[in-house]
Amino acid sequence: MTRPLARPSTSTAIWRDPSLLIAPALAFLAVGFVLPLVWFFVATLSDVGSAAEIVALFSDTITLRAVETALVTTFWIALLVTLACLLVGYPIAYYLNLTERGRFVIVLFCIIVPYFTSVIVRTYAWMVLLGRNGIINQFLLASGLVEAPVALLYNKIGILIGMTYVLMPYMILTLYAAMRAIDPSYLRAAHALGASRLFAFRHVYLPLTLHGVISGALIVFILAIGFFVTPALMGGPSDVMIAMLIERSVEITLDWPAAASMSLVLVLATLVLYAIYYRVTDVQRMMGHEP
Amino acid sequence: MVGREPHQGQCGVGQMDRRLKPDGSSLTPRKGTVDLVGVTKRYGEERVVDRVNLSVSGGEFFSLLGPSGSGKTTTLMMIAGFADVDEGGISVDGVDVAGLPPQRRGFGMVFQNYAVFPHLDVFENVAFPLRARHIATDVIERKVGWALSLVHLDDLARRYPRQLSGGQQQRVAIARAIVFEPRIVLMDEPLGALDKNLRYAMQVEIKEIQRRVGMTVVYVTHDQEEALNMSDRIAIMNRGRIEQVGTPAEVYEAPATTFVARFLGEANILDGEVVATVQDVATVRVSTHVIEARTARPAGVGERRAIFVRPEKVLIGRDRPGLATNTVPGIVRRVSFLGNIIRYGIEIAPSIMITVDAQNAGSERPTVGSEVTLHWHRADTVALAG
Repeated sequence: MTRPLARPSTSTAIWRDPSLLIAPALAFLAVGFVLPLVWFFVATLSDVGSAAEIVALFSDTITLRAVETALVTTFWIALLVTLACLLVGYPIAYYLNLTERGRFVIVLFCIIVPYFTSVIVRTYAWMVLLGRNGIINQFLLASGLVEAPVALLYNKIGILIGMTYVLMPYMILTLYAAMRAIDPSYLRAAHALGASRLFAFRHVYLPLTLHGVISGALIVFILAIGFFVTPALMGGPSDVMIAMLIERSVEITLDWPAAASMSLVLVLATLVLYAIYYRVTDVQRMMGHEP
Repeated sequence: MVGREPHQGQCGVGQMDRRLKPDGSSLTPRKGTVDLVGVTKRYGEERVVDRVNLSVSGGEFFSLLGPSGSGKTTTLMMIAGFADVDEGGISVDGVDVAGLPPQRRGFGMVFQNYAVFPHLDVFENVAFPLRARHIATDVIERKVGWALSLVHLDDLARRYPRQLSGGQQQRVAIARAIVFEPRIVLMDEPLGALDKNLRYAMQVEIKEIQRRVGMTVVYVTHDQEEALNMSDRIAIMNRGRIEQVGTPAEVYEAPATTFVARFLGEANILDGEVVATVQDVATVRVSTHVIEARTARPAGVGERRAIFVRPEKVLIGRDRPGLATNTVPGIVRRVSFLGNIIRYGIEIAPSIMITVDAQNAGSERPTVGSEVTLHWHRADTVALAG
């Protein structure tokens, strides 16, 4: 009748409250990320003095010409990268959704596997391709399309190409998930009721993938504003992004309060964007599109 | 049909309106007929639709009825243009539609899962076919209003699909399929996802709309009650072929095959041997009993035939002789109380049972083990071949 429940108390606790399953990861995040971040802000800013002085420093720092320029550059590049990812990624995700299994696996493989190599290696690979004597310039010169080598590296073009490449999978996979969730009968209904392919795409498919577009764009944008390696290696001297400026303040000028101020801007921007992202995925659930 | 709402003195959806000029003249009469000739669909070696011939008249409510895998949905998808026809031809109002993509065939269509666009409100869903045809806004307003009133959704025009019940969503889908006044509306198990009570109410409503608008409906269903209730004619499909086409009464009371007999409800089917034939009446011996039955095709003496009679056509009585009546004695083995009817299992010979449905009318009820005599009319009996 009453069999002895010999189960150890910890395992029953886990069954009762599954949130314990993510406890180790949360603990790691707290110790490895949240704590150092808070410590950094507290330690550096408490040196500055009173709250008023911190606010003064903060506004002084972000209105510095270099910081202002870096912020504008950062958001501008992030925006361009997001648009590029969207323009290239949407058709790829669309293709992934239509194609049969064999080709799907191959294309997905091509998208994902390069990401098992480090960002630095892949960035150097792009530098080999894009340099003055790189493969692309050699091809352009040999084919007679250009007279002199085109500057594809150490400028905004280089950064855009590099970052778009690195961030592309986030866009493609997000869009793919959104497209996957669309019941094919919606398109069928659209066609049956007289809609041309273009009309059905414009008025049914695109609106139904819009939340995916917004989610993907926000993910890419959030990741792009904090980018460091690729712009540092592939950008020119005038293309300083905010993460690079933070690194310089910490490593070279040793101006930690300035670094803290700039980091704060970055963290706040990320949190605002994340809040929007959260709202969008929430709306998407409301609309009845389970991801 | 001339001058019905919302046509009066307006020009709108292309050539359809020419047919409905107020004086009744029509330049290009479009009746809404659908003809299938030898239509075949193969998946590999298998013929999922096998040489189907059909002729649907204008304004007719025509059902394709069959179990899953019988090819009825594939047939509809070929008519709609979503599946290619491997052999044979489909024509609408006498014009071959083989080369036309779905969006140019001009059908209205209703799907089982509604397929109501989740990002558009009710009004915009119904307006969709009109917007796809670039109709003027004021015309759209009027036509959507008309279609929504037909399905009694006038008050919900600004709701989104997620705020609607399944039945309401299907009304939206129906309004969307008729708003541009197609001559032909295709329906693919439109009520399959609804619960039973709602289904009957919707059957009545769809039939009423079809009657008022006068469109042709090609309706796919696996629910025989639904098909019997709504259809002018039914084609019963099995394994890619059409077993029989006829009015609900014809296919129910005079099935051509044992499959049709069984698929359309409870049926008694008894194996027997023909012992005599006079014109279209065959005398068939089942065990030790002799039963008279109609034959659609002439039967030869000695031939095996299956005797068919519906359970509700058989009467239980001590002795009720009459002309042209089959009389068979038996013993009651089972009594099932089903509410409005009482279903008896009666053994007329070792291991040969006849099911009898009697109205629950309060008269005497035979009990298990009692000896009874069964009577049924010769006209209700069919000797089926195979």
